[in-house]
Amino acid sequence: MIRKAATCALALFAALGVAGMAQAQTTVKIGVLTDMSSLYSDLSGQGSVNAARMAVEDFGAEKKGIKVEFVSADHQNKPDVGSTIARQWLDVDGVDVIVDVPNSAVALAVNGVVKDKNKVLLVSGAASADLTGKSCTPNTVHWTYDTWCRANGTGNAIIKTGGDSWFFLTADYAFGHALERDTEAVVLAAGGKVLGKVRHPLNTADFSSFLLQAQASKAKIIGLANAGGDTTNSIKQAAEFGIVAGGQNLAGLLVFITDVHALGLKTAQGLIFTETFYWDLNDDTRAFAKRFAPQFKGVHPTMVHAGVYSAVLHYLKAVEALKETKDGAKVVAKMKEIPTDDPLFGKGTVRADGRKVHPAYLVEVKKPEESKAPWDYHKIRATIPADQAFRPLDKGGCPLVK
Amino acid sequence: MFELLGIPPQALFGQLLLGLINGSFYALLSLGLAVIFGMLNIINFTHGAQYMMGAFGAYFLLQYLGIGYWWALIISPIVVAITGIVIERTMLRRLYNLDHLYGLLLTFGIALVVQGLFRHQYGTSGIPYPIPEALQGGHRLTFMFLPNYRAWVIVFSLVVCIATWFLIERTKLGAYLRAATENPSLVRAFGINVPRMITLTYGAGVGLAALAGVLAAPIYQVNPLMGADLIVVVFAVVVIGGMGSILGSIITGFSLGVIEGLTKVFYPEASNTVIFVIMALVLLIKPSGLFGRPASQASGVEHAGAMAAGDPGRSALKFIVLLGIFFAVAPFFIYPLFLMKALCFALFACAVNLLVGFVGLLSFGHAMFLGTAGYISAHAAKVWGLPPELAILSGAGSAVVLGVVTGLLTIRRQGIYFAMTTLAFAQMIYFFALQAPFTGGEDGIQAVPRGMMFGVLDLKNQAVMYCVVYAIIFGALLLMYRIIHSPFGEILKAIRENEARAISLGYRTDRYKLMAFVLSGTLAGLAGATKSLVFQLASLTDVHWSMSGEAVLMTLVGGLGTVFGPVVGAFIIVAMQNYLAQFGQWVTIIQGFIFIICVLAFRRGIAGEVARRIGRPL
Repeated sequence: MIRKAATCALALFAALGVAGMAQAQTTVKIGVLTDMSSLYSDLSGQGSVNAARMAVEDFGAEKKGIKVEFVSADHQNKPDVGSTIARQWLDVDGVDVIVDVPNSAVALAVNGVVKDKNKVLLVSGAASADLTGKSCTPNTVHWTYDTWCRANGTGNAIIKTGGDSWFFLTADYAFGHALERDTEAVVLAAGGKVLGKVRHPLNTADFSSFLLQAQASKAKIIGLANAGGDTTNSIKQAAEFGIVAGGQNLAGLLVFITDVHALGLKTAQGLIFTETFYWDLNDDTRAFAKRFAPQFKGVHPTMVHAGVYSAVLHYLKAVEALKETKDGAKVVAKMKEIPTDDPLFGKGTVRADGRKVHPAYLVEVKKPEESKAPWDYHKIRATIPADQAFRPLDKGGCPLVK
Repeated sequence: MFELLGIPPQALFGQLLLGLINGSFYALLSLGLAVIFGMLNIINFTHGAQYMMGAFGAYFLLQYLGIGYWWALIISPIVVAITGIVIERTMLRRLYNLDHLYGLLLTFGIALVVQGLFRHQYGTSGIPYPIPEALQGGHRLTFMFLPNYRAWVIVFSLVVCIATWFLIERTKLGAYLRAATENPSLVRAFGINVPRMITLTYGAGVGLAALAGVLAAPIYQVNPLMGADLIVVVFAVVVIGGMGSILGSIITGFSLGVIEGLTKVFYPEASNTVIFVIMALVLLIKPSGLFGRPASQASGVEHAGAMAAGDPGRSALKFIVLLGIFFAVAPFFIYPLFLMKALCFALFACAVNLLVGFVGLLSFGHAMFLGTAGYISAHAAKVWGLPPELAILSGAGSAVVLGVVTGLLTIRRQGIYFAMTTLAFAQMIYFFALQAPFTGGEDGIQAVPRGMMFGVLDLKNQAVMYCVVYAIIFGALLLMYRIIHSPFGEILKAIRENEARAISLGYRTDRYKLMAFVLSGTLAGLAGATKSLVFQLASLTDVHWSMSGEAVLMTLVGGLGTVFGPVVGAFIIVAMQNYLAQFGQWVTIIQGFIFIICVLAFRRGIAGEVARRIGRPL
């Protein structure tokens, strides 16, 4: 009986294999690993899955003989859950590429798994610049942004407009420390000074005590090296305590448009931060937003969503050129070889260390009266060209760079 | 003095005032929790979710009905209180005669479902709620800028706290309530409708939580998860004040707000941990809290006995052999890595269960053993370059040390106070794991090499790794079975059944309990050490308090009072995390429902139900 079943199965597999070969079709299985249930689920989450699907549609995969399948999962912001899912996807489910992975701790864990199995990881949601620094691999491309990019963009721009004394409100976590360290370096290099810093535990509800310390420091700029609810609460309470009215300014180092939406313009106005994508940049991005928003409860695409779209599109181009997906390092090498070009980020490249480079934008949140439509939130204050937006290739300590 | 502290006195006053304001939130929330515990004997873990619902209530009123803050302050708590009453009538009512643990788990499940549904609808970024017109702006005091709204918060919550205290301690209604808690049947004999009084009390407690939510809405973002982490802190406040003591929770709420505020100035990193340090200190010196009545301790012991394991005989051995066969065959059909995870958690849950079943103590801090051992063995394998067997040994060794130290301090506590003391220590370990440089913060220790076991077994091979994990876990489980049936195990059972008599027989019961605690911690550590090699990473997740909660959940699903039931529970919970991951945001909601169903319908857990059917303990 068992033998019979096994023979049957074998025959079936063989038949499938032959059929697959007959069509000469390349099959790609994309796994979107993201946060569906907590901190980052608005800025990535289901929206990232939708963005990946849109990329496949726009690429016209089917016409080009590439069959694309999807899986998605919630990593719950736990590195062990994330790495179990990743391993299972790569070992059992035949996933070729893992996309998004907000939360640096999870991304770093998956990064190692993907390298071991020689598949591809396209990071959009995670911030850690280590992914293209000391933890870089030949299998990972870090697409959208990183801590260095945001710290550098925001830090430099603010120094130029006279904000030369800083006080940091830092989440007491590795990513908060990284943001603070990178920004501090920029501030000091530009001749500014850091008057103080305070490290608060993650998920603090009340920031008034820290804000009072920041106020007492008389620093011109209060740098918020935190994320999510911590950032929105500190901004909200800074308004309440008259910090901004008193002449001090806030600089968000890890703010997303969804945070601005959550705060409302009345509270968020004047906030300065760096993004690599804004939905209202040009006709292409507006068209994207118009398709994207209705599928995701009206939320307009964040740069993380746009990054997922752009990364999947470019990945498919590399697959089309190679006609295979099994050797992940080879696909990534191809991705580095062909220049990137898509409607959302324009032209760009993927560097040897796996860093995708494109311009970054310094944005300022509009005043309520300047905003003409829902989600009309940003003014572009400056554009940072692609070659200055990211950490120089030789400064990251990536072993792939010789 | 002030100069020494490096802070001018004016700034200090500012911080003290801010601390009082935060304290008023703690006071309001813990007041509700204390009222509910005092009257119903239920630890209401839905409290955080109900606080959140209060804030959302205010938002809905404004958004859809155009009703402003002042009316929301009345309407929202009433509406949320009504939902609370429904919960009490339909679910909580069935649990009054059971151990605290069941009420805690049920309300925790409800909280997961409620938070999940709100999150599904409103996302996680939060929604703004404006400060009411009349309270906008602020006053520049000599030492700080005080927003009017914060001043309002402190005054209003003080009034509410005092009114509640007065109602319960100084009025006739309050007297009935207190009498009903002491002796419900006697009070009923006087013609008072006790069940209705209890229902209304729960509603009032919930209403207080919702009231705090409305108060918080203009200061914090209205966010589905705003109460999720708060509940543990507030619960700590209640425990420090003394469970069920109204005055205690008010005073503690305010003073902890101040202490937390001062910590934010002098050692901000620790501001979330300081409450747990204080809780540990208070419970060590005054086991029933600052204002608690020592009488409540006795009930803890009596209840603990109810969860205790029966005498597992040969059937338990057969059961573990069956499980062994299952896990030997399973890797041919099920993804081995998932099975290894399930095995590690199985041992972890069994370790927790050992303590509940045989010492009658529920630990809510076992994550500290799992996490610490994981970190140590990961560090040993990666940085010291030790072979895997020594890495695992050093991990388990660290759990022994930790077990002895924490055990010495906690083992004399009982019931809920034991759970909270272990939680406090686990929170301190969490803080240490976050601060210590070698643990790598939230990134954890990544890319831990699996290495060669005994120099010959290449663990990079999945099959070899599986065999090793299988051997370790089942070895430990069999050892556990052996210990339970040893003279040592018999003495533990004697102590659990009647501690006083065991003492009179000449046993030094504390020493035996300590040994059981250390054993349980060591097994949990062994699980953590193995896990870190399997996943090649050790992270903060394993030290977080929710991990301790997960272990309790696995035990409950598998079957409290069985020896190896938690293996089944662990398998199911891990499978849910893994295979439900594709349902994304629904995972926590489904988990919540399973909690609720387990507590209401399958209180014995899966193995427990089976044991009852076949009439033999497992």
